[in-house]
Amino acid sequence: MPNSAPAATAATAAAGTIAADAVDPARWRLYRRMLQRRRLFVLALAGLLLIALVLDIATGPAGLSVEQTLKALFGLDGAGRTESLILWSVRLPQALTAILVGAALALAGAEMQTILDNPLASPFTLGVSSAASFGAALAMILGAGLPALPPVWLVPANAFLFAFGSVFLLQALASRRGTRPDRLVLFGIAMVFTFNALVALVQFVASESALQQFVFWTMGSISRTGWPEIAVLTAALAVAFPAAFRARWSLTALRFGEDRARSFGVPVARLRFLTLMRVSLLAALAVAFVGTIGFIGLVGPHIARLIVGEDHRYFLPASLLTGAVIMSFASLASKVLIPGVMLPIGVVTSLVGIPVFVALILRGRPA
Amino acid sequence: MTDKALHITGIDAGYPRRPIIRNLSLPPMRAGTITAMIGPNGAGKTTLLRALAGLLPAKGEARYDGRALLRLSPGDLARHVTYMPQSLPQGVALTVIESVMTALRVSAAAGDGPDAHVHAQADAVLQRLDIGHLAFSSLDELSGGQRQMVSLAQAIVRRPHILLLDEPTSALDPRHQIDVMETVKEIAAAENMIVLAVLHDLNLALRWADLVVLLKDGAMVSAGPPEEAVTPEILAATYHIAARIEHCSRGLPHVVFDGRLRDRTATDTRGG
Repeated sequence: MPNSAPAATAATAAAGTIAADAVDPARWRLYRRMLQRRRLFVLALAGLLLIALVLDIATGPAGLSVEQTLKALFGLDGAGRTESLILWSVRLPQALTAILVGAALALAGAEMQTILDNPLASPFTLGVSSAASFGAALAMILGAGLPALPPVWLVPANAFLFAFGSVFLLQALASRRGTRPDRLVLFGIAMVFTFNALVALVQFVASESALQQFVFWTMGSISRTGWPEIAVLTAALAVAFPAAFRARWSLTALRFGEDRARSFGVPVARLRFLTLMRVSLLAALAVAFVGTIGFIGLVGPHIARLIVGEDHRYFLPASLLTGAVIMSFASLASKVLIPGVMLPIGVVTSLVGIPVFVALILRGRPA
Repeated sequence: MTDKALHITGIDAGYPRRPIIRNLSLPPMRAGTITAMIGPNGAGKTTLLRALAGLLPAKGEARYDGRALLRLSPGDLARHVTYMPQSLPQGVALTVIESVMTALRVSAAAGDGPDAHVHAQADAVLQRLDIGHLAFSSLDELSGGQRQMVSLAQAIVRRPHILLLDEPTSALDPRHQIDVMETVKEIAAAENMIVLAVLHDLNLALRWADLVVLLKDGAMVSAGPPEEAVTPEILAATYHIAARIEHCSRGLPHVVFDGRLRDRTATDTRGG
């Protein structure tokens, strides 16, 4: 520490206290500028998302022009019935599903990484996706699931149940006195392997057609969802994000370690419980509706952290938006990479996201 | 008039199957003073701090200003007591100013206050600790000593009545050790804070503490003004070292270590 810092102001030094009597305008300006930069990045992500959404809904095998797409979207004169149908029942639901699922998984990942104090925590690495896969496999291959459900909801309901259950198991462990976050992560990894083995077991007895259906499910697809699923995902995010945002200071404080956060008055056990509830809801719904999409929950928060840091006022919205942007571009790419073929989005997500991710890691530090 | 001192009486603390502190009572710690807690590794120093901060279950009495600290809710306790652990974790993507502001923001009282006010308080502490130039550095760019200063800033900015410091100078060079002790002493006096600090450097304890408490095996060995609590005989009995207390030309006491005592009558094999 060089001895070049400006001396304490006369007022504070003289009294020996640490009360701040006045704001130093220069330093306050610097601080404001840092916050403005962070806000700008969040806004830029929102802008990028809008662009991705427009491109995504303007792209597809039907070859609608951007003009036709916009006309159909806003119900303007000259929009044909076919165009409207394509837009409202195929492209828009898919595009919105991509955004909502990306947002849900990235927000879940961001919160998980904070409360488990582990940058590798995500719905995928902690077994939530594996549990959902097992639930889906049971439904698809063995036909086992909740009774009295319409058949179309059998797979998502089962996937949700198992995904939610797996986070609940994590939660039960977390609430045991003295369970450290790193143990939870190990427990999550154990769950990944357990559920993967169970899935393999079910696959072993599966018929060829059921197996094919299941493998396709695990690749992740946004073409299975319609407006009801979109409504459910939107509602979940509308509940989970404001709740997470309310806990922004506690979550930021938790980054300094559990002891320090508790000494600052953060009720850490309660914070973990409520956060895990939100995470389980978001992750379980996302995986239930679109299958396994492993990359977003891990990478969305990492990219957000690199660009805005971990002040959760910015980190939470930036994570959510980053996840949504990546998924939206992945949805676009899944349609254009091989013309005429719609690739599974889970595969594309990784292929699109990884280069960006690696580049950001190599580049370095928060703005 | 209420007594603004911390009274610790008959405290048991530790882990369910491994009690570390048993029936510990200490002399009152007065507002505006520094108490240094010294003792061999594993003596229970950190355990006592964590118990007082509500981080470990504890029985007994810790009274401050008419309040039984051990029975306060975590939120209430945090209004009076701040604990500074030994280190800040690695890999936190926050700047120094954000870190210090978070320490204030997280409390309900300051949480929704205007940003400018919180910034001014955090900034004042950074200037006070002479780390104002690091305000916009990322925590991960800092040296161990600088991180320790930030950690201290986070604790001080909350202006607690009772400040618990766990080895606040362990990563600091001599100049910054002196800086920290001097600043803490000034702040304690000006803010009427009770400071309880775990120190391993006996000379820092002798020089800066108003009261020294020496623990071993979860019990108090000695307590009192520095030169009464730290004597060659006591050091021999607790640390198994031969040491003298010499006074320099300015009359300040210094511990001079002569070596290990060969004859360890009281065996101590407990680790830290």
